[in-house]
Amino acid sequence: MSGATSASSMRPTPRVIRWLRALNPFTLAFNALFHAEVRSSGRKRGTYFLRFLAAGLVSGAMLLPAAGMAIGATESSGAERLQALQRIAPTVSGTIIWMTFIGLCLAAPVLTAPVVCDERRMRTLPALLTTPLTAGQIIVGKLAARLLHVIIMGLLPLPVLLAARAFGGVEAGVLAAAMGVVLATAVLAASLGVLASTWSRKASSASTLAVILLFAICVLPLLVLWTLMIRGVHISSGIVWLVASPIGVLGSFTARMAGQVGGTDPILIRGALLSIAINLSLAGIVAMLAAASLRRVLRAEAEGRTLAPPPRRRMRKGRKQTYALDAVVSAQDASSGGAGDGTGIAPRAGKRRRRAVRAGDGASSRVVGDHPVLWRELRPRARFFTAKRIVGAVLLAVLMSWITYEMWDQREALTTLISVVGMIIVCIIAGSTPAPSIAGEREGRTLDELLTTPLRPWSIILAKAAGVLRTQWMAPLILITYVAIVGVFAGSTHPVAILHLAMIVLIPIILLGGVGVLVSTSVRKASTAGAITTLVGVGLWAGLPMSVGILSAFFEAFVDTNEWFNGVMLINPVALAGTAVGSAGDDVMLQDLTYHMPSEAYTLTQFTTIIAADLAVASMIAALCLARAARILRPVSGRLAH
Amino acid sequence: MIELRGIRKNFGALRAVDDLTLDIGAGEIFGFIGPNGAGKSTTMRIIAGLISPDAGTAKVDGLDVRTQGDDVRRILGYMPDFLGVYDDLTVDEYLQFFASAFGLERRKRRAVVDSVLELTDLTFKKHAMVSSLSRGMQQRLGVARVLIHDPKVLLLDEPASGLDPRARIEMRSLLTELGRMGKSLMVSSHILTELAEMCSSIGIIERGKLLYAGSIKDAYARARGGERVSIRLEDATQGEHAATLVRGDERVQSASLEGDRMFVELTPGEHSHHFIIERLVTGGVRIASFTSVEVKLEEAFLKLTKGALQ
Repeated sequence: MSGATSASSMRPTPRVIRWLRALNPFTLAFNALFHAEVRSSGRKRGTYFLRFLAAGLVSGAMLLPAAGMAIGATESSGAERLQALQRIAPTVSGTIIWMTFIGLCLAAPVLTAPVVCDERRMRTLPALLTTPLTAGQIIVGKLAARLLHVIIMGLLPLPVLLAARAFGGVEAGVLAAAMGVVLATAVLAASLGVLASTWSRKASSASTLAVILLFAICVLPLLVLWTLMIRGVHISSGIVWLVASPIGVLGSFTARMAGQVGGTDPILIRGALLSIAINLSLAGIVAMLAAASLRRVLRAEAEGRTLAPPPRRRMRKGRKQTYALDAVVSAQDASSGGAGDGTGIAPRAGKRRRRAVRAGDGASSRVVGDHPVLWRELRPRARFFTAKRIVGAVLLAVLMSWITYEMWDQREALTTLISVVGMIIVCIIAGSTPAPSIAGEREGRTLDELLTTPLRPWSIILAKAAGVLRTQWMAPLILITYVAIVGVFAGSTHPVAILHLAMIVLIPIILLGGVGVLVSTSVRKASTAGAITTLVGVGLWAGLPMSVGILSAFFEAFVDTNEWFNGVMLINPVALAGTAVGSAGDDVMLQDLTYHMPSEAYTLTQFTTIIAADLAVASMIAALCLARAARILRPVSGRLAH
Repeated sequence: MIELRGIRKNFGALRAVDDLTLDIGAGEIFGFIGPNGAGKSTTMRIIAGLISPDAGTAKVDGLDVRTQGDDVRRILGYMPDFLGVYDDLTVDEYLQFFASAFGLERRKRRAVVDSVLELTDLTFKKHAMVSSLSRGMQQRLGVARVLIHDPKVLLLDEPASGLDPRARIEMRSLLTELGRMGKSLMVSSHILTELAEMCSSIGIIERGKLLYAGSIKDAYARARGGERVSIRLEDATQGEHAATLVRGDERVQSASLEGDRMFVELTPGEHSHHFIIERLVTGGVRIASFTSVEVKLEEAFLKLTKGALQ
């Protein structure tokens, strides 16, 4: 009898009950991994540095009006200064909200992208397999721990924003709604970082992918909305598309704060709530996808394979390309045939497995050049047409074709818009590509080996810089090809725009390439290097115009602040690209082309000279950065006296 | 071949290497022994020119690693404790990469790569991806890499760490072979039995201080003080009588009993053992076996480090 009781008490818990237990938010999020991650990040100096940086940036935005008041004190009365302060308060609030939005959109993927990449690099994934944690618990636990930092950073500006209300800032409800949108977007960005982390080998690639995906999520609804508006659909019908994009809803808030667009608060608040709901739902879906992806990765690790993208290689001519996954499949695995294990994950049996085994010994080796680092950086990619790339290219082509078809009558505006969006993507890629150049060698523990060879630091740095430039051809090529086909060949854009665009895309690539290699030499982790380099780009091309916008409110009475703004835009590749394509109508003679910047109009020669000068300065800064990077590498390598 | 004089290195408040002076001769296999964090890797990284010492000089073949770093690199091969490999290259490409980095002419590279692959028994994996190699093979590839420019001096930091017993034996025989080829080797490890079998000299470091440097023989001599002899008696009841017999000789420091065994410790110096047998046989003690007790490197290490840093 007692035996029967014992047997019934040992009966396994029904699967439904186990699922319900697993869905308990406390079990799901606040598990052992969450506590371990929070504790370990609490010991890192970087965590506090990041918070300090965020607080510093917010303080900087607040100091600008203060500086403006101090400088303008001699030329205006106290009442005038107070009026200026009241006038500027909404702009300052808007600027801080946008800064927080951009900062979190970049910081969240950087924080979450190493989640799986680092485990894979440190070969600790198998250890996770030995714990009772499910893939969902691992993802949500790690995500929750990193989100804690993101939310802390997101809340840092709140006291400042509330303080700005004293000078006639923004209503508390509007502020709360806008910050809600910002935080919900940050949660989505963090989830995308985790998802990308399960797909990528390197954390820097994962964070770049996450930022690009987030950018697409932000921009695509607006493109759809624009298309609907052009087709005559009333704006109220397209409001869902507007609020589906965090940029759209924040833009509406900013316009409301600046008093440029009317509208009742309840509509805005409802829009914000809808936007928060959409973003959080998307974040949940992305987290679930990440959990499913991690489950595949863990299963693959358990089987001794790796699901990370394969290293670059080239096969001997006439041989079949090997399957991506698995250089590490043993002959024993191959002979076992790979029976299904009931997990729903297809075993790598048959043809794939045979190919995988061949990958071990069937490859041929290439002849390494006399400059080995340069050879490694510039050698051709082996498997360019991977399934993922082909699917991505087809999706992009379909999307672009649809938008172009829908907006064919507006193709002049469309090419301008695509130039601007494309240039932003070029800038994002330019900020993250140099990140692994030296930091990647350090993370892979190959830097010591490289530095104990007689290779000179400058030859290593130059080779790395060449590699950085070489890997960035895709986005500019797509952009230029699109403008060439839709703009130039269809007769809406002058061919000279192609030349300008080709020069402009080089500005961020060269500048951030040089800065990125320097940062990569100076910091330990590639993901940190990517974040810092991207921040430099954002500061230069988004932060600077915002700062000038705030300062100009104090000085517009005395000087033409439009000139300041104009000057800032002359070094902004996104603005230059928009102007280069938008101003170069095909119906105008070459000598009559006029390029309209915020406060000035330029002739073709002047505009070309401006771009050439920007390019020259960018090249010079990049050269200085590379020289500095070579110097930093020198003492590390013990070349002290030479 | 390697001369270190008064090397000191601090990492913040931690003194990683403290006034270290050491000489390693040509063709010597030097075992660098010490617990984790003792300063072995830091010392090797200083010799390799990867970090600068705060004080002192380090020379390799008479060349200062700080001022003549480029020349030192050409005669030195360094294999770090955590081996990093370019997993997107094949074994052949990986070795060619470093051959090219060391400036080997292109027409000679093929032959050099083939010969180091042969030496490290990796020829059959020549065109395999580096990432597909087992841990032991990757370690051997690491050794192949440091041999690619035929250096005079090899610094191998924990070359056998993480290897299975078979791979350890293979690695040991490979290093012994390199020693036979006349190269100076500095090998760090905390697996003392391995070092005992292949090293001609050892250095013991703990908390940054070099406690001992010299030949293994000398280390044993210092560790054991006097020789020890183990005698198994046929009749255990004769133990006390046997002990009294040997204690009567001035060359005997002590005699102790453990069951049917008697351990005799001699005074320091060279002594033949026949007098012990003569005394026992004359005294009517029947001996079942007579063996000299070998001092192991572990014991030497423990004795040499015991109390040194208290």
